[in-house]
Amino acid sequence: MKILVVDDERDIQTLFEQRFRKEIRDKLVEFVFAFSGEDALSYFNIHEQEVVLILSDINMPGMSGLELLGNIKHKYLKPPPVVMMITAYGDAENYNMAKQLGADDFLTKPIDFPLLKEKLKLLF
Amino acid sequence: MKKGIIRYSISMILFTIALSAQSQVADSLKDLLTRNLKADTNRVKLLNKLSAELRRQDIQQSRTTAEEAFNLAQQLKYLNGEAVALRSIGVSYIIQGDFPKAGEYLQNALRVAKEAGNFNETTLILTNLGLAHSNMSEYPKALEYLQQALDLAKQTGNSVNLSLVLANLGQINYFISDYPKALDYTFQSLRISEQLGDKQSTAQALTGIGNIYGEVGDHDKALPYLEKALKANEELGSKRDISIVLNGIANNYKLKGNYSKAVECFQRAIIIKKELKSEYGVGLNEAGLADTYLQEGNYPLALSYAYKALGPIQVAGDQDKIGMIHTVLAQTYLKTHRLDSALDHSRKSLQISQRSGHKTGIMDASQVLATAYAETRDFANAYRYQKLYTAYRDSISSDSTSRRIALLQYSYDLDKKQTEIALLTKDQKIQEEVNTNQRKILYVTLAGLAIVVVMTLMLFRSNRIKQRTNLQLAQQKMEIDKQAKTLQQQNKEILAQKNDLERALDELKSTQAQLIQKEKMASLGELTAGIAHEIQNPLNFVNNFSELNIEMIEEMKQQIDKGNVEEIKAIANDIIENQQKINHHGKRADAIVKGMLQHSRISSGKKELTNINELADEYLRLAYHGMRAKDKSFNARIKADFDETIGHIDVIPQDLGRVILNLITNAFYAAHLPPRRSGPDAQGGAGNHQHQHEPTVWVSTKKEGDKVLISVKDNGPGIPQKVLDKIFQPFFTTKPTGEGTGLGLSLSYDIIKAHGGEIKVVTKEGEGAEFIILLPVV
Repeated sequence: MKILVVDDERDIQTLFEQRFRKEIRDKLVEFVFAFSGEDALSYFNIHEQEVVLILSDINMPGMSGLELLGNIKHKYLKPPPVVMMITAYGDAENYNMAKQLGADDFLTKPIDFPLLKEKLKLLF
Repeated sequence: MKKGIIRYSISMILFTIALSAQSQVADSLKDLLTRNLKADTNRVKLLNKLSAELRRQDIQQSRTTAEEAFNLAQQLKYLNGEAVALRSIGVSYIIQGDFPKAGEYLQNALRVAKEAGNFNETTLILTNLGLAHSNMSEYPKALEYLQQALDLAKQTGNSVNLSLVLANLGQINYFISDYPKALDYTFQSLRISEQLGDKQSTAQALTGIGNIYGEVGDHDKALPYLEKALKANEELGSKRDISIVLNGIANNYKLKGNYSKAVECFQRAIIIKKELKSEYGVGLNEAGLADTYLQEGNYPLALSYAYKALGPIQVAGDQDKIGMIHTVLAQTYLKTHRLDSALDHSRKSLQISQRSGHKTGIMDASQVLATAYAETRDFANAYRYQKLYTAYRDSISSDSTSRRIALLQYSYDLDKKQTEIALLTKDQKIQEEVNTNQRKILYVTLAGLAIVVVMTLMLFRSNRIKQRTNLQLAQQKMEIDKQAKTLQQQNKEILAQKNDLERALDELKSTQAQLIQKEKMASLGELTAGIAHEIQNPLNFVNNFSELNIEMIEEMKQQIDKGNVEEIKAIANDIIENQQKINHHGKRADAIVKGMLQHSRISSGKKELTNINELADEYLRLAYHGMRAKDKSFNARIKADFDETIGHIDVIPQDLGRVILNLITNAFYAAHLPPRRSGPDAQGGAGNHQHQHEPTVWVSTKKEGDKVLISVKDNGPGIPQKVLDKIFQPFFTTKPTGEGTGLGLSLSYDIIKAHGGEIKVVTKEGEGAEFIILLPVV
């Protein structure tokens, strides 16, 4: 399955690629990385059918994660991909806004990778 | 509605009667002039009188009449007539709104009046000069002139002038929001003009008092005064004053919630303004109608009047009102769910209000923006504008609270003085009665003595009389004692009221202090939340990568057992890479903390006279060497242009230097970025010459009137529009992660604001950006 990860911190890519080393090697999962909301949206426009899960940070310059969430959930009417928000902001306001906009899950940083792997297993 | 029509008709009748009475005076003067064609000082006096009468009806005629008077007076070398005529011309310009011209003529008039030793004219001219300057918002100058006028009026004991000067002083203090002073002066003026029976000044003073109470929000006190003023003006038949008072009444009714009355008064004012051919006046009242209909919920009418009002108000250039109309439009669109229009107009209003620093305008616009954004589900922006709204609302309410307290204090003092005066007069009366009684006793005793010499019967009778008088005296003494007791009681009550007020004042002061503290804590809390989030990112990486490395080393141990050298080397490389990342993010966190410590150090530091050019030069060098230390290949063209006439101004040198350093460092950074493709290089198609991008930074200083301008310009890629309103926010940066804390411009903004200046940016994508600091010299 193809997962799109959106975060302005570039080291997130290294982190994911190392944490999911085995899964990537065994071709169980494929990661794509976007470093801004706008880039994520352009990628998604092209590869809409392939991306099944989006993991996005909330606090990014330019288009924020919540804006991206709104865009994806409200503009793509055929079954939209699952979108989980990953963010350092764990407060109720952000959680409620994300839920209202249609987020499927909400994870806080630091990312608990074992937990994330469990959630992914449940999805598919 | 019927009542309104009847009232309106009656006032129209009164008004026409008064008006015809006025034109009667003017007509009779004109008549006299046609009959007395002799070119003498008498004619000059008549012309001047006519000019004054015409002031309320036909400004052009008033002026030409005064000019005629002036020419004749000059010929006759009649100084007094010259002075009066020049003043009349000056006043005509004030009424038309050409204040600079008015000032010219009034200065001339002043000179002549002083030469002629005419104190009365001098007082009036000084008063009008004060008025002209206050209309240009030059309040310190206006107050200067009026103080001179006040002293002169007191010296010459001219009550009419005294009342006029006091009224103007009251008005100016009203404009600078010193309401206790304004009320004091206006009440003084009212007392004098009531004593003199001067209806016009009385009407103006009543209007002034009504407006002050209205401004502070005490509509219940304001309306009776304004209604009295309206009646007085209707008797005088002064169209312009009637319309002004009607506008004031309408606004107070609107704020009280009595919309039907407000509409009625606005409509009446509009009719008069149309007669006076004042487009601006019509616009003002239409704006008031728009707001009233909005409050009432009649949205179609609110929109219609708002658009009607916009034209003339924009022509007149009244920024505050333009902003207010846009807010009314925005609120109406919001209520009718046309969110895009609501956002559009409220943004316009915010821009205008921020430009003119109009607090209430900013607050209202922010509120609409917050609500509109919330409805479009843009919660980030909604939250942002909500914060802006609450900040201004709290600031304004604490302002108006302290104003109310000041006014309460003033009213209490006033009542106290009046009670004291009443007490004194009662004391006087008692004293008088006692004196009379003593006199009575004297007479009776004398009469008795005379009779004793003559007859014993007379003695007996006089004895009886004495007894009766004694009884009367005893009764009167009882009454006097009773009055003394009631006065004592009143005194106690006043004391109790004073205590209540003092308690209320203390409570309000402590609430105000709490509000300020909350604000500080809130902003500190925001900052702390910002730091915490900023540091969390690098810390996450430190944790994640170190955990990862532990796993990697375990794996490596397994591989060592297997003896898989290639695999071991690969893992070792990964571990090194991870450690490097840990190191990098650790340093990031360190830099953020350092940056925050710097941010917290702003408040200390004293102002001292600093040579701005030297400061700019010093920090320019610092910036340049700093860049070269970091990157030996760094090179940029620097162009400096310092204005020698600036000299020294009062600033905190370390803080201002930090700002300049920040701007220059940013400029260096930007200048070195590759030029954006949307610049002029992109267009041109084939065969365009490759022109080398030479990073250049321009630093210049200039004196502009009462401000000093410092400019830092670069020829980098410029700042894109959508980022432009975020650049001064804390933690906002366009640099790649780890290269900037995002605090530089936010700090600079705070420092410049603390100096009472402003910082703005001019940019064009593809061509570069210029940051401009404006600092006041005074």
